[in-house]
Amino acid sequence: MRNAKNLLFSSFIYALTALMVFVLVFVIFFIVREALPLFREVPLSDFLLGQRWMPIGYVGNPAYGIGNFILGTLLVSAVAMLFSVIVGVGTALYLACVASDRQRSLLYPFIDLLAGIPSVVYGFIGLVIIVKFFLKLGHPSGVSVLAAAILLSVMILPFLVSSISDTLRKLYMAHLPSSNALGVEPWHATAHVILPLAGKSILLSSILAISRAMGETMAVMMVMGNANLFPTLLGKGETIASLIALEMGTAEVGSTHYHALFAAGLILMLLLLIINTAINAIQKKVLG
Amino acid sequence: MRFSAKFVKSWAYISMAVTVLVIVFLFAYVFFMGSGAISLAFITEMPRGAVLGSEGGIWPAIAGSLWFTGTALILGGIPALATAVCLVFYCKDKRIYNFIRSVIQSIAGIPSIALGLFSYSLLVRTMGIGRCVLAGGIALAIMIFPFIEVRIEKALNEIPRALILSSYALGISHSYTVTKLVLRAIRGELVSGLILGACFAMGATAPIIFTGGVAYAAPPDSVMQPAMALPLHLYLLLAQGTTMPQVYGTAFVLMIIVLVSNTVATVYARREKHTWK
Amino acid sequence: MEMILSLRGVTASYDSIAAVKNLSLDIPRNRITAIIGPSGCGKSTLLQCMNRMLEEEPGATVSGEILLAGKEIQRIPKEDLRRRVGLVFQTPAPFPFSIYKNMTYAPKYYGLKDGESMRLLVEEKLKMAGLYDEVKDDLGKSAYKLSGGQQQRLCIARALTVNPDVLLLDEPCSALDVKSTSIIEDLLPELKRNCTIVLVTHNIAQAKRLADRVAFLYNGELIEYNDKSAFFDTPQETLTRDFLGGARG
Repeated sequence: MRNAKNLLFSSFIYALTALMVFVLVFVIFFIVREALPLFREVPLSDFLLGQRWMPIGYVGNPAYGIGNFILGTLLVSAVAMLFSVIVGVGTALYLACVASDRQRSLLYPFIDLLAGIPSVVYGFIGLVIIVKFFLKLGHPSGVSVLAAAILLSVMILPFLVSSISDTLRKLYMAHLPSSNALGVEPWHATAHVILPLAGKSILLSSILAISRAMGETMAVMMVMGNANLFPTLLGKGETIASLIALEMGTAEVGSTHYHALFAAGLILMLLLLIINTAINAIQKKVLG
Repeated sequence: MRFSAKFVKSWAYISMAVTVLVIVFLFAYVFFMGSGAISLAFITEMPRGAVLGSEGGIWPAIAGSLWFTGTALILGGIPALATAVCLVFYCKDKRIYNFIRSVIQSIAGIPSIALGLFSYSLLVRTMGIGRCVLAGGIALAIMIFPFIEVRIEKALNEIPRALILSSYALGISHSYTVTKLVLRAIRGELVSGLILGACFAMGATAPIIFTGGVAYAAPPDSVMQPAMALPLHLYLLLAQGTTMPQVYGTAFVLMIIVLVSNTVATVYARREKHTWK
Repeated sequence: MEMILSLRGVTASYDSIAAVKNLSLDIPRNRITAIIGPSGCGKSTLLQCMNRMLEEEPGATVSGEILLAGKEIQRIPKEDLRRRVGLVFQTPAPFPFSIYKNMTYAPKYYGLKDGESMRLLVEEKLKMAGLYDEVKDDLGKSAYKLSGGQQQRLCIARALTVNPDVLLLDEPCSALDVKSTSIIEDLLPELKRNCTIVLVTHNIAQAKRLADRVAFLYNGELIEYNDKSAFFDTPQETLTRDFLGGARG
């Protein structure tokens, strides 16, 4: 009886795990499979570097170039990361070097609230606050890469803060006693010992934050203007994720347009995969 | 104090203040602007009006969100628990472990819109089940699976090995050890992981936008019907270009859900947290 | 004297490095057998072979024959064997439950349902472990609130709840203070009326106080094994004499 129960339980665990792993592998396989037919019609270089995206050839031939979308994705994520790092490192410093245990135990879950807010709510607040603000300043439409980057920087802040503050806290606990013993003022030690030591891992966390930002869809789509333009800070732009979200509903299954959207999704996945793999490799090498 | 020290100190204080202000502002703004729209009728009535949703309530969106979230939690949460248990207690082969880990990491890196894309073309179009709660729930389940699995696996790994071995040393089977000792010991992290995973699913729009979420539908009776969802409703109202009180009201409801579920998850996890001494 | 455990040519290795080498040993029923030796000599590994707990360690392998009351232990289902041969670890590892639930955890698994007999069982085993009087008023208290010595006695009591024939103790006092150690030492001679005890210790004085028979392990090999008085009064081997004299502690 007990043996039967045990066997039943372990079979259940194995079966469910195997099923889930199969599904996950299948998802990846499926996306790749649906993407590949595009490259029979459109050369990879045209797809990646082309600036014309004209899936339905009303005038002239259809064109499938996602160059601007790739650049838009990278630009908005990188700018968002820059903003987020400035505030994120400062916040992490406060959490690691100033906050008492009690403060920390309240502030961490408080900051994590940011990660729980749905991205449409971010998009909505971006529209009514940031876009309105840009309009007031005289920007013609208010929607822009910069507006999206500001919004995105708030969305990735909790991930940056939690990973950087972990590193800073460890360094602070390890080095402060010896620095105090030398009579060095703690903030001096923070500025000259702890921050420089944390530099590499702050850099890694920042790149990881970019990869988080790149997958974000809704909020960015709502404030970035969605136009196939070469992205500039104050101009409109469009990301790969927005492209898929905006056009999937209208693409005929099996059409070149449809395969192109899958290919765009695949490129986004590959970008994320390259960044994440590189970070893992560097982390193993540099941080041990 | 030297300049560099002063600079770093002010940087820390100012940044912390900015962070706290941003969070307080986000919630206060939505609560302040949304409170006017909130009433019992708003929560319990169907949306109406010439521009749909400009009058009436959001009841079908709330019900639909619960359907989507429930489906995702069952299809994503239970396998996440099983996989975490399998990786920590059953998987003896390092290579299989590494393979499963890297698959999970790859899925965690897939943008949620791509999961929507997958579910849309496989389930909705190719298999022809149409837009429904199930198709959206599957996309959401795949999205929250890594999120929950990673948290549970971390909690499982923090259980001291001596506890598990003590149970085995009493002649007790793996299954009893897992269900009666291990799962009870990580109850806090387990429940909070599931709550936060549910919250994540409830707030997501991209995976359901083509797969099961629609602009208007009565609350569904089964997972084979399409449904409204709170974040999608908010998005569609906004897409019509107006910012009416109903938009703020919908955002209000979403933010309340975030606030309550995060608080419950944190408090519960703290209360159940063992220091393993 | 009746032997309950017989080891015949047992070798145990971690990743093919032998920790116990071709070791043979008979352990008498209802006695305390102490296994002593310097740290790293394979004492704990040997103990873990006896109820197949070593199999839970990744990369560990065992060969040779171990008989429990005449039956090869590989032929006894792992779980039955471990119920009959209990093991208490060096550092106390109470479950994150109340004292009472720590005690009922295993009996429930073995099918005991009746509340009254459960209560009696808990009381009896806590008494055997010398803990009952200290905790009887507050059995619902978390086991983590007990002192280290109390936790270890709870672990012994918990191991007794399944009525084992043999109790393996892996340096049960090394993480404890003097007072808790002496309470546990007083307890063991009482316990041997009901079960056989195998005690691993690096504390020679403890072996001298408690054991009926003493085995000395060095570098994974059994150097000497004898009745306590013979072992301590007239050790045969140079290595044993050196160890007892402190030369190779």
